[in-house]
Amino acid sequence: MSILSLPPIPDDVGLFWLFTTCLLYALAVQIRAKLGGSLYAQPLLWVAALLLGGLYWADIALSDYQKGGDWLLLALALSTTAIAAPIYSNRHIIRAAAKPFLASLLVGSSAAVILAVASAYILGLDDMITATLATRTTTTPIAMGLADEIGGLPVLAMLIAIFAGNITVLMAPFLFRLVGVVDVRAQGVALGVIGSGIGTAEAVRQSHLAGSFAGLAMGVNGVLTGALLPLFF
Amino acid sequence: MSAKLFTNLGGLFIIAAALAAGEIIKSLAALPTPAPVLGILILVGVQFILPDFLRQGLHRVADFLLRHMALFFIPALMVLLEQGALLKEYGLAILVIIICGTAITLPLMAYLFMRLAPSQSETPHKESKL
Repeated sequence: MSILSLPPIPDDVGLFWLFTTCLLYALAVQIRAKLGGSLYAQPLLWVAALLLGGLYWADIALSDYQKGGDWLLLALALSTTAIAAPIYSNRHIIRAAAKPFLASLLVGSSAAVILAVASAYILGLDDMITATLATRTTTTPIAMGLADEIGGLPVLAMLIAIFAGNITVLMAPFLFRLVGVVDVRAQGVALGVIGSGIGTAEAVRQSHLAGSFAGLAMGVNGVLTGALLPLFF
Repeated sequence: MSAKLFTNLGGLFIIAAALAAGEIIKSLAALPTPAPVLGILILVGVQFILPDFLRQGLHRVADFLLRHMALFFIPALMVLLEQGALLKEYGLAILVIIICGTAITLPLMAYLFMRLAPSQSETPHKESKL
């Protein structure tokens, strides 16, 4: 998805599904608010499940849905870029914590890649799946390009990025409580690397400070992983 | 009210321009770095020279985009329509690997940061609302 070559204006079918997606999302956000912001009321998962059912039932081809969906994917690239705003606002707090930030990021990111590759090896998964799993900590747009480069499957990398993000968000409150971390900066860095895009979105929802640490961690980790991983595959 | 609308549009334009600049640099320099990451770096730099009223517009738009990021991920999940076979074969193994990896690395990172960072109360706490 490129902003330099915009997707075509959607036709009736594309517009209908684009509108339906936004409407269902708006409803899901209201429902989550009614449930007191419950983590299990993730709008992304519920709306996607409903839409998948709807598309399957109405026998709509993926390419027809994407005529509208491509515009939302463009907005995903825009909102990823928009993380620069909270990073700028909190630049002094971030600079003051540069050392723990980098230490946590380097250790966590390499541990995540090594663990994913090692367990894929133990379970005897083939090379293509193993390479795809290695992109696990990068956010969707990064993961797809990276998987392509190191012999993985871009589509699977995209799904892994999203599911890993959601699993991270669901497990996070319990895991943070387990090690007694209440510092939102620490939570932000961990969410940004291990939960990538979805983790960052959740961190932003909780506080802008957590969000800026998550966004910066996601960005730095994306650049480093993107540069280093191809050397090992 | 309309002044606010114009600065918001200006903010959206600046974000789009930063992303476009990221894409142009990526293709010219043949970098493996994804365009949005380059866009983030450019947009952080731009904010140092942006007049206040435009930066406020930029931050209002960014706040909206970030708050509703989940919406923009929905079309990406729709590829599941055509990837059922792949997930049936590898889904469970991948799920187990992700859950175990998360259970170890997420607390490890947060704990490491907490041990190395000066506690938050010692740093002047002035979190800016976007």
